[in-house]
Amino acid sequence: MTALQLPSLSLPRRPGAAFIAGYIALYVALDWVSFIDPLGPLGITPWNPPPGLSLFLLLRYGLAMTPWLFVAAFLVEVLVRGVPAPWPVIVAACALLAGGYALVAALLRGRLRFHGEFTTLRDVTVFTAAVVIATLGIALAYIALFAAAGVIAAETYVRSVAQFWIGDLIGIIVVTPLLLVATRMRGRVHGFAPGEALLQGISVVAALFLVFVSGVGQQLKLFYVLFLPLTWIAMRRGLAGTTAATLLVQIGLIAALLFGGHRPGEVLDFQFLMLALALTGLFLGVSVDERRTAEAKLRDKQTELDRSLRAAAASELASTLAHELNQPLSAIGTYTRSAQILLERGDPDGELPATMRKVVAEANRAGMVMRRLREFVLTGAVRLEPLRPATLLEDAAAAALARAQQHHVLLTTVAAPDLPAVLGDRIPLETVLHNLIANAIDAVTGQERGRVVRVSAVRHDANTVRISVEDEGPGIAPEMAATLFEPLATNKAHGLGLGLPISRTIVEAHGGRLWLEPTARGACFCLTLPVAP
Amino acid sequence: MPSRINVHVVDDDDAVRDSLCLLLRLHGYVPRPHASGDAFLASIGDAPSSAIVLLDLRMPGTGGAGVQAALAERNVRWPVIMLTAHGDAASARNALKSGACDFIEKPVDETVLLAALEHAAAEAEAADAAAARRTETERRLARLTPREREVFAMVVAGRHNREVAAALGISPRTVEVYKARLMDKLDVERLPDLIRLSLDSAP
Repeated sequence: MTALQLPSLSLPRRPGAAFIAGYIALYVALDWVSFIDPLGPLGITPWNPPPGLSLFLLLRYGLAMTPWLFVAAFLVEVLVRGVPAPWPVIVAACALLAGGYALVAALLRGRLRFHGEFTTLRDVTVFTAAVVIATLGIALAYIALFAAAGVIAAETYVRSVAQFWIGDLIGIIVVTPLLLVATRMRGRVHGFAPGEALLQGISVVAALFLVFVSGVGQQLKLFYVLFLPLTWIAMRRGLAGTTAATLLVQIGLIAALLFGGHRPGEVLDFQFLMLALALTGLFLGVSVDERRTAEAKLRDKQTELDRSLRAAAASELASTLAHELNQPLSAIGTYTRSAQILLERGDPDGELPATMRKVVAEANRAGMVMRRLREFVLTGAVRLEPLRPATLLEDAAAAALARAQQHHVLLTTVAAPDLPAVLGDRIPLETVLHNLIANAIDAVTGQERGRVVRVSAVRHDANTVRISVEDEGPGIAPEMAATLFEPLATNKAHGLGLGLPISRTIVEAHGGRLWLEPTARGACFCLTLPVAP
Repeated sequence: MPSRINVHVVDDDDAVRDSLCLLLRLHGYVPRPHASGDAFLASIGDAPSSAIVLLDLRMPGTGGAGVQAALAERNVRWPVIMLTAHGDAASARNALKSGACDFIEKPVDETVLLAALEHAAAEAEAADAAAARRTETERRLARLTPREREVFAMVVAGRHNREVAAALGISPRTVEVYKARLMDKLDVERLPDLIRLSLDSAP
């Protein structure tokens, strides 16, 4: 949907040893860099991104990752924090962390039907609610464990829980959605605009500068300024943009507090504001994504509708033609039968010559109808423009794809590389190709094997490109092949027999040819189109 | 060869109409060409003689269905054969539902056309005969006195002489006299003939 500010991350399908080692290393490193404003002997920080990494791992790769969470947490306790507590308590605490997050992940993936792609408002709501409750539960249990072990004093109990909770919560809210969105399985539709992304990044930095450098002592009051670039980014880039922007703000915020100096406990106040910012980014971003997805769906529907309208117009034309041809043909039949009777009776009143003249007149009239069709196609505003053969093939095939899938027909399009553009009117040419492909699909649907239709474009000669529609059907009977391009010749129960004559007229109006290529099996219709100058 | 029955050919296409008229004439029918539904409706007099109608479904102005409705409104009960374009089954079904006797697809197949015409002609003849009988019966019934008509109605309803006598307050003998007189006037000899005649008079 929206392009990502960060390069898209590609992950292995199954995590290998190196991947897990990387996770543990990153976990420890993140904990070390985020070790700011620690509270008490446990070193509880108000900004704790490692759980965000852990939850992402569990959501992406499943509960089998739980033991590694334990290992990572344990290493952190030993390497970074150095908590003064007996070993069994530390082990229990690490097990509590790993088990707690595994439980949230299990609930999200199972009962709560969280899709892990953040494509709907429901995903964001369910995720936020689950994480808010789970981190509070884990904070309470974790602090209670160490309180029971006598590591922390009773008077810092509430503050410890608050700091632990906000640290983990914000770590998850900032990191997990970012990683899930960045590694989304589905492809993005729109391209990445580096210029605009840079400008948006600058706007975030400028807002941070305004808050922390120019507003000394006013930082908390000026924090709202950061919502402005976030809103802009959400409107333009959706969730992918806001998750990246949120991380940028969080890093800037921590850096500013770290290097700019802060009062003890002030970080916690900022983190509450940061939480509001991160949540706003999530909900705003996903709302924009949802709206864009809906718009894209609507556009697809519209394109589909245009296609079927075009097909309807062609069938309307064919129906009118059928009626107009029917009248002279009906009259010819009746006159001829009358002439036969007159002939048998010896034409007593001399009516035969006049009757025969009428037959000829009606035959001419039928010919006129076909000539009018030709003129209609020729003068029917043929707008010649250079067209890419590959695009032409793909668009025509796309229109017939539903029909092919319905009948389990394999429909392939191949355009030779380095084909030049051809000169033509897109809509009638698409109609011709669609008609040929539809015929080919009909030809193979009846058989058990060989339900294959191939559409290809190659260089025919210096001035023309040849497009072929081949099928592996029963082929065209020789007696049928002779009259194939004549009106009303059809072997279909419901066909008017006008598709090929009209198609040939259209192709010839472009200065090309349409013919049936002799093949060993199946049928192969070829048409040529002039190369654009 | 069928009797020289009138066939109204209603089709806006000159060639189709002209060729059908020629073929019908060669098969012994009397074709009456009409270039539109409205022209055809205007040409029907007050007392039309029996005929068949070959009616094109798709015409400018009043189309086939409209002509059919107008005929029914005027109480003209000619058999109608609808001419339809190839594959216009829905319209054909509607035509049959509103009382058309048959429909033929264009281009017209001669065998199908002749079979449909023969069937229609038989229907027209039967309708003619029924109409003739009805006129004749009504003419005869007009000769009866009101009292005789009362007795006639009761007798054909299956009442015995005694019942009729009681209902009208006359003697059974008098009923016998009325019965003999009205059978004489209606020119029938037996009771079954009297009942058949009463059936013909029913509309």
